[in-house]
Amino acid sequence: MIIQNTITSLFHFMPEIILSISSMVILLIGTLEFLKKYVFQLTILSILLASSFSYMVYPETALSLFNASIVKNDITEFFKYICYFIFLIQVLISRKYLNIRKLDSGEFYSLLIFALIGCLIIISADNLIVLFLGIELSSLSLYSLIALDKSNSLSSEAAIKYFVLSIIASAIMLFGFSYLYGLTNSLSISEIIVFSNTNEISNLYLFSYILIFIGVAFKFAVAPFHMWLPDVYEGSPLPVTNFISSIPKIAFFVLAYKFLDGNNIMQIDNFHNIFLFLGIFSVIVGNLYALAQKKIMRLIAYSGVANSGFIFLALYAAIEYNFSVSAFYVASYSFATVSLISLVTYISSKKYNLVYIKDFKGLSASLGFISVLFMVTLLSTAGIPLTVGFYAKYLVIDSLISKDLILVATLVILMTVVGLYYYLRIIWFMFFEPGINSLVNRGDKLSVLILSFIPAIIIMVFLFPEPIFKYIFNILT
Amino acid sequence: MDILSILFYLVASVIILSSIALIVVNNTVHAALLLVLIFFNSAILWLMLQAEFLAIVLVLVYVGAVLVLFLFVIMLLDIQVKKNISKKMYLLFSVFISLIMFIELYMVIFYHDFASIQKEITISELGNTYDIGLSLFTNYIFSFEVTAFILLVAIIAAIAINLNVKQRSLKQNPGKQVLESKESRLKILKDEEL
Repeated sequence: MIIQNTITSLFHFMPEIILSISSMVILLIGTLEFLKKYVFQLTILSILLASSFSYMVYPETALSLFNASIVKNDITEFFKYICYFIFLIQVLISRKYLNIRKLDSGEFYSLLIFALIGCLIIISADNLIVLFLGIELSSLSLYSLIALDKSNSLSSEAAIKYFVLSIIASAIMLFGFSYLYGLTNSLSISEIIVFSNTNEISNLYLFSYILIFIGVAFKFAVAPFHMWLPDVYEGSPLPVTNFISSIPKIAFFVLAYKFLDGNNIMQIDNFHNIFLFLGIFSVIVGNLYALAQKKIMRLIAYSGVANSGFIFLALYAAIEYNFSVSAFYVASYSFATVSLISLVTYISSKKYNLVYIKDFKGLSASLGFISVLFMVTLLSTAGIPLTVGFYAKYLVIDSLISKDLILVATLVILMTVVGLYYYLRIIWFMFFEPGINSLVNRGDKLSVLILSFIPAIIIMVFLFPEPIFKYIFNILT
Repeated sequence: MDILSILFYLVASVIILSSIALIVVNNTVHAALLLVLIFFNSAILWLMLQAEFLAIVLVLVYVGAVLVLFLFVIMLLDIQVKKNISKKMYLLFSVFISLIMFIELYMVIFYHDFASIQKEITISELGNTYDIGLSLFTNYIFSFEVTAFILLVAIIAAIAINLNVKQRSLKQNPGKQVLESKESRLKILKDEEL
């Protein structure tokens, strides 16, 4: 019976299996001198194969695989598709950047795919052990990816910082898991939620949930736990930064959703208010610190802190709105930040490092279309109309007002206005300041096409938001 | 108080004291040896819970392999033992924070009624090595395989980070040598072309 179950599970788990096999093949091919140059193509091929397989084995009803270790339903599949899409764009953009810095080895791509597999496991896990293993798989690959650039002294600093702090966060999370297991006698997340609805919620249950959400807050880099973010963004190779900024956040959002959805713990004010305080604090800290930054990656990092604060505020307001606001925010933010970092990667691919904000001066003279794309994504992260970021921020503020938190909503809007300053400054530098650098636009047409995908999506979803928002609302209720 | 509870309190106090000492000592070798002590005592705890397989694995794998390797690395690195590092502010702050954490944990955990959630543990006649093996390869097969992947990633990472690609010596690259063909090295010129 169990063997039968495992074999059918293997069939439904095919996309991840394809990814893991291909990552090992890529690792092998990377060592062979005459096949080395096909590593990139194989990576692209494996992602395309995995995503098409995941379309083929799309579950009609919710599935539970490997003896309730893994679940597959509409929610997990939706977020997995987002991960595949984002990963594809990241890999496509980063080829030249890696090539110039001699990082395009087999192990780089294979570790990147392992990190993706870890995030996919986090998204679909229904078991505390599997969840923790997924977290470890993704973060272990990321530590080594950050440290792989040996020519950059900042990258080893970033790797050590990320390693030590992330290990502590994982340990705290595991502590919470162990108490949950001791309390509920079950490893399954769905049974843990059922336990909260049938029994009275004890202090220990609350405590273990707080420990788990400390780990989640760390991975989201919400304000008191954000110290690692700027250094890691600055130090790691840009494709790795691109990965860290988006896919783990999506995975940890799904984790938070799984732990909170239908759980009576959200009725308890002491727990519920944590999200509010963390959210407000990180919106303030993120926006104010971003004002003082001189380097572009640190600026993107602090704007990420502010945006994570918005995600936590959306989680706070999640009871009536049923998590669809926060899911929409996570999706729109991760698209915008991937577009931003991909554009920086593209410009940095030409043996010209885009490090400081003042390097943006006069960018539109040499890279006109790229500057326009940059402007669209910057406006989306700032939340200006004509981009999807406006809806995302509007919905969060709307749900705050509907909970009678006028003061908080006002504060958040004020902080968004503060944030506009540093976004608009980059746009001002790009279009209205005289250039001090002379970039020759030797058009890499394919990259420009790929880069224009996400800004196009950002504007399209602004114009026609209903289908996507209705879809998210349907799958989350 | 029966002999088992006396043993438990003895072992637990050794674990706690040596854990504190592990953090406080300056010498890295002493810290590693204290860790060995902690693992031995944890193994005794496992044995008292009738989990003999886990106890043996803890001693064999951690003490026998991991920590011996640890000691090797520490001795090879030749770390100087620094003394009198004055970090009083850090110490004060960390003691304060951990005191708060301890009180919180005490309030939460020690007032909780764990007796109501006890679970019956059934050990089969074949011993718990059999049980662990069976459940690893049936119920927890997925977790087991993911663990294998984590180990693979650790190996790849360790090699990729430490491999020194900078070529200082005149070493040969067999892969490139095999790929060389006659045409790439020799060019035959006819008499008329000269």
